[in-house]
Amino acid sequence: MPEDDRYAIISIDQRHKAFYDGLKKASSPLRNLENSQIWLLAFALGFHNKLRAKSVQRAPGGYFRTEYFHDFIPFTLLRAVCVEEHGGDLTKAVDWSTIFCTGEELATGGTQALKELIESHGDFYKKLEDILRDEYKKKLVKKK
Amino acid sequence: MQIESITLTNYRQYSKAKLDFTSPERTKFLTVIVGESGFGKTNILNAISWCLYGEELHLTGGKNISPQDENVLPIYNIPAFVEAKPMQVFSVSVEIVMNDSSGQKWVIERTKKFQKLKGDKAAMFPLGSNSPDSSFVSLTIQKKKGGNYEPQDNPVERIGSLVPKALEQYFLFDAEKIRDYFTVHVAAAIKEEVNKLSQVDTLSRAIERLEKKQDDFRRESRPISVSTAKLQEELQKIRDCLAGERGELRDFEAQKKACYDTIQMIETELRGCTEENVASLQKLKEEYDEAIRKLEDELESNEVKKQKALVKYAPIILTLPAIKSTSHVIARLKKAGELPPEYRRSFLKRLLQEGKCICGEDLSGKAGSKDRRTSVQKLLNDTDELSEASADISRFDGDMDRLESEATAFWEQLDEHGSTIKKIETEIEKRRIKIADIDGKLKGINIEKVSRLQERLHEAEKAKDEWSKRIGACEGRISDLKDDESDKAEELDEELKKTEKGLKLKKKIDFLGDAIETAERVRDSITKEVKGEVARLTNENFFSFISKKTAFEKVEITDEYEVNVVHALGWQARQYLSTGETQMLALAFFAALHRVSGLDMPIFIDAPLARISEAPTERIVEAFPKCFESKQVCLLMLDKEYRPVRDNFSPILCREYQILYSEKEEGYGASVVTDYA
Repeated sequence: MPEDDRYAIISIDQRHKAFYDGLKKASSPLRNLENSQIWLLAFALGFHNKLRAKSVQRAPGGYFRTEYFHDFIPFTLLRAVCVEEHGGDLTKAVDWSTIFCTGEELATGGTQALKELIESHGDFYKKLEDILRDEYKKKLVKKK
Repeated sequence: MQIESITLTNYRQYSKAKLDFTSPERTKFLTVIVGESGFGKTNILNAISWCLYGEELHLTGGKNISPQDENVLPIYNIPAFVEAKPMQVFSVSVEIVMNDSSGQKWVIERTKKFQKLKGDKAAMFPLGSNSPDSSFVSLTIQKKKGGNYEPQDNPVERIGSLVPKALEQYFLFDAEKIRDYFTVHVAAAIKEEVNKLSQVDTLSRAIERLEKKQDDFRRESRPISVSTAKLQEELQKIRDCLAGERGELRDFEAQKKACYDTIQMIETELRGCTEENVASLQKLKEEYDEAIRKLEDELESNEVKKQKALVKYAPIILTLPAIKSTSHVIARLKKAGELPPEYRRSFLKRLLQEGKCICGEDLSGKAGSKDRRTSVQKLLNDTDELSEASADISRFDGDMDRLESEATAFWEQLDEHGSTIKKIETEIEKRRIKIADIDGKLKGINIEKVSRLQERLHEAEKAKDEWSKRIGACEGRISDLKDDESDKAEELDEELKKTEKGLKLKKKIDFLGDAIETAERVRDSITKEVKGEVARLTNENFFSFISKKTAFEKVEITDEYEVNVVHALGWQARQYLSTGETQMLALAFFAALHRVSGLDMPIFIDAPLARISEAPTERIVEAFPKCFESKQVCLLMLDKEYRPVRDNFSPILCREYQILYSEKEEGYGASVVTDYA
């Protein structure tokens, strides 16, 4: 599988364009983040909350290019999630168009969760930390 | 100017004491006089100022104590009075032997006589006609000529020219009254003194004289012609206006000075309330505020670090189930031997295309090879696309392993951030409690009085600014009038050229004009250089003294000679310096003035290191030779201040004295000066 397949333009749903634009404003807790980091949060929340949705219309111009992922982590997450979302079909781990398509669908679904997390009462990062801690607790319970 | 010796007779604590200041080497310029509090160190300064100017300028209670007041401790030595027989006359005298810059030796002696009366009282005893202020005090000045001393006329004027009284505080420096140095001693006075020290005043006076002479010549032009008379008249009108404006300027400056004095007075009063309370509490509060600001910055930086970690690891934690299950899939396939695959699809395809196995067997499908080809074809059909990506899947599997361990490390990182943030928050809280405590204490003190004073201070500052504005406007008008004056003078000079007599006058006027211009240029350049040099040296000295090297950015000296300390963050900080820091600033400024003035005067510094902590003391001692090189310096110190730094002073030390005090049963005592042991 050629490496070039990893490089693609990721888009968001046109319906969410205004929300994502608003995240760059000074009042936003995510104002200092890059688009790729914001999108990855939406994607992870989409997976976590099982919110997968197809875009009604992909926003023209794209949201960011996957070249802007800083390291291997986002690629690994996208691949693992894609395999999981396709019933453990490992061939999907090398199918980059499906990987990005699945990623976009999860990010579209997760945007709503991200929006709620930002707009609901309380500090965004505190709420995010709480979600992670809950996840950690669940893992501990499972182990027991 | 060097003081050779001072002899005190029946003066204050001293029955008889002689202090010799002569030094065998120029590099050894320091004399130290050590004595405990109350033994008479400061009275040596008083003795000098009394001998030279007839006033004891260093009394703790200020300069306004009348020596005639019966309730005030007399100037004479109590044992001398006690031991005197009724009606016996005894003298109090201070004699100073000094050399001026040309090496001429002078002896100055001030004497006051007293007669012991009945009933433990004494009265001043009349002296001869050479007493300057009253017939009870005699002042003599003698000049050494050959081997003899010749009495000189007008001792007051003579002393005034040798050691001007205006400069007294520049050679007799009482560091214990350090706060007054910047409060009572107003900037305007400093400016005036600096101008005197740098001889700028002399130049200004010379310029005034030259201008006056130039005017006289112009006035002589009046009878030359009608037009010169007219121009002269117009010029005179401008000059009248100029004189009026100058008078107004003097009034405005006096008003501004009055405001300044009020400000100083209120500041002193505010400091009075504060010595115990307000200022120190406010200062403490500001320190806590500053600490909170720093902690808040630290908190913010840690919170940002935590947020970055959350943003990086949230996707990993949230998708961890997918990572784990995909890892299981890979593990299962590995266990089943499917990963890595036995054959790659591309390899099987190539064998079929070439019709030949790598072992040489025929796979073309022709007779005898048909079965072999079918087997390979079946194997190709059974091998999935994943066989091509086995290496990539293997890397991917390794990446997932790394992510699982990073996710575990994340919790440790998060806890670490959390505990740092909590610690900082606790520190901030502690300081907030302290601030609340200070606020409570501040409420307890007479805040009403403080706020009333602050209101008055604000008003005085506003008024001062108002007068400054008026001064500025007046200076502007003066500048315009000066331009008019110079234009008119030029016009008059042009007119003068037209006649022979006028031409002669014009030459004289021009000559004086050139001289004035040169003198003004020299004066302006000296003023600028002196101020710049005082600022540079004060900065250099101050920063070589203080411990907090980064807390302050610089010491500024304004055109009006106000000394400001600029905090690292740009605030004016002089009022908020500690007593020790203020003393170091004054010492730095004092040393700078001396260096810049080029004034050849001996320097006496009382309690130079009092209120200064150990570390800066060491730095001051280290910087001392550089700050005061080539001056005759005498330090009056407590033994506990001197002993730790004695060795450091030894390279520049000329003489050491110790004041010992013996108390008698009758309740009075006397001080004697001996060599330091």
